[in-house]
Amino acid sequence: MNAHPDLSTLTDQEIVRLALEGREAAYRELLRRYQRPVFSLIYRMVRDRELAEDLAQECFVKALNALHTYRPEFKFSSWIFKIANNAAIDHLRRRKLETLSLEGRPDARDPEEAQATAISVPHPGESPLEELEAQELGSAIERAIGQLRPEYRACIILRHIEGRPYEEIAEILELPLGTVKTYIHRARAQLKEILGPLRE
Amino acid sequence: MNPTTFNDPNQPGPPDEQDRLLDLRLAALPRFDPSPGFADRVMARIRIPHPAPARVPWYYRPRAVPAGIQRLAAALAVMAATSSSLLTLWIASNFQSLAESARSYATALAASALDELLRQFARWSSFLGEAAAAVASSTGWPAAAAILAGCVAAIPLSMLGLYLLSRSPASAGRTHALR
Repeated sequence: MNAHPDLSTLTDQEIVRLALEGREAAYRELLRRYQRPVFSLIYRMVRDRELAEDLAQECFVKALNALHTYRPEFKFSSWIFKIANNAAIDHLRRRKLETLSLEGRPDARDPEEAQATAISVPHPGESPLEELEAQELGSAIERAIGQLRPEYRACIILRHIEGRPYEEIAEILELPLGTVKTYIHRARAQLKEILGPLRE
Repeated sequence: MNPTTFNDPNQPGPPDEQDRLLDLRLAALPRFDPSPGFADRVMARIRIPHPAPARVPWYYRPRAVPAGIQRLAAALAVMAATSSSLLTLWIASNFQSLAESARSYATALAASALDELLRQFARWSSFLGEAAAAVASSTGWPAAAAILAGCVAAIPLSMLGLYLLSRSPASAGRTHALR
């Protein structure tokens, strides 16, 4: 007999408590609640579906295996989004370093040396997955979000797509509240600039 | 910006309107689903804890008992609690007269028999006997009163035992229905 037949009516904190008691259904409920928002955040941050899925999977494995470290006085959503955002930002930083090395030695003395040390990678043809990504992230607004700095991007996604309050975004990104407001203001200004005049 | 341009349908609206339109565009963006089987792939890598059994006092190890016995124990516990409460109230309200009659009864009619009983009791358990004798000598109560006090003390202990029995897991059901 199931002691809690309808887990969907419980709060995140109650679900976490049941998970820590060893209920597999509670883990599945946390996944059900957060797999879409977490995957969406990471996908929009890294703009690569396959990679986003790997990062989201790592994020959930890390979070759910460390559930005992979650402090219930904080929102579970803040905790999981923080892990997801850190995973995405870490990846973007690593990719930036790799991109630099592909473009040649960072300490090259002249363009010829940089060219000589650069690695050329053949451009693969567009796979079905890439076609899907092109569809999903191909709208003007998605492309505009993709052009924002990662910090601005995270703020805009959390605020306007996930509907998180400023305070929670500050907690997730570990930034002062004023900085979050400034980032969102600047991000919006950049989006309007990129998108040009908007019409109904 | 020239205000006259607001009437032109080909021109963008004022800044507030642009903000509103941007909000609408952002709010309309969908959330994306990961590929099917995502949750299963995550769950395959999750270590679900097996919580340690709750610490149970050494004097109380719950064992499965039939539900009928549990109900009987619960009824007996209620009866014992009720009767002991009534007895306590009655003793409290008639304490003076009871004490006098008990003292006279013990000393005049059955002192020797009760002293013999106390000696027997002391033989069975020298410690308890000595304790009872000590209580009897220090309080000035007759030995019978000390024994009665011991019996009265046994009532709440037996009530506790019955209560714990009634709270034992029923053998017909399951003790941990969480999983």
